[in-house]
Amino acid sequence: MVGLGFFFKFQLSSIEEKADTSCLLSNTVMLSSITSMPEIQCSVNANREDCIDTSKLLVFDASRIYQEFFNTNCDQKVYFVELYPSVTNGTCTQSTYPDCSYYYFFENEVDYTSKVIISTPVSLYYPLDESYKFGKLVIEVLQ
Amino acid sequence: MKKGQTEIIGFMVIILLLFFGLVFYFRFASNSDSDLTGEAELNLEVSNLLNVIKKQTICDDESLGDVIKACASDGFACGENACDVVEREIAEIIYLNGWEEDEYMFYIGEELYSPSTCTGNTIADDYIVEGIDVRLIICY
Repeated sequence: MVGLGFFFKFQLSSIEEKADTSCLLSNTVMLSSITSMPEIQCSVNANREDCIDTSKLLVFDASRIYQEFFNTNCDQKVYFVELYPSVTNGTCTQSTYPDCSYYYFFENEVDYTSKVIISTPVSLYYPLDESYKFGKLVIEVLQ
Repeated sequence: MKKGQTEIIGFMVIILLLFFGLVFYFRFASNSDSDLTGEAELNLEVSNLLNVIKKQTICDDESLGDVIKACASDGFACGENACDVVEREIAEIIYLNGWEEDEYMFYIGEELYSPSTCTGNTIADDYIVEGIDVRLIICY
């Protein structure tokens, strides 16, 4: 009985750990796939570039097209943030652009007790003055 | 206690030891998986950061990639010594990305453009500009 008790306790914690790892792994892959989405990626004469076009980011609603893509494994909040040389902190909308820093991309309206934040650097392109700025794609994995 | 009973107890102890051994084995095996995830994330981060560095606009349509190219040929950019701009801007970007100054090395050819060298496990990415290797190395 004691042996079985230990076995199931370890088995349960191992399954929970594996679920968390799998969730983190799928979101790490997502870091790479989001930056390659043609809807938001920069392109010059139909050739893709390694950057995010902020004017596309501003008008693209990921929750309408990519709902299933984001909800496969676990819940998350996805956004881009400009880090350098940013001087403002506000959320980017059609009225605040380009004097803003946060571009919210996808968000699940769920209750959560903790979150794991993963991120990757991205180059944010501003077509108005044709400049590239340092930003980050951030995924908050909600648990 | 009879000899047969003692042998059964001994056998049970061996079975329990084997069981706990297996449990510990599987626990360590799952830990190595999560390290792989961390390394994959770091690899992506280094590669993307080098791309950001190349593209970053510094002044009047000049990118940090252009400044790095000017530095490789001992030139000027943004009205000052190109290599000074490289060292300052790289340090700023690395700091904002959340790394300390002793956690990275930035080389243009064999010349180091970061405050210090670092040791330990490393992940690196590079590109070639005018025959010179530009390399970003992260220590962890």
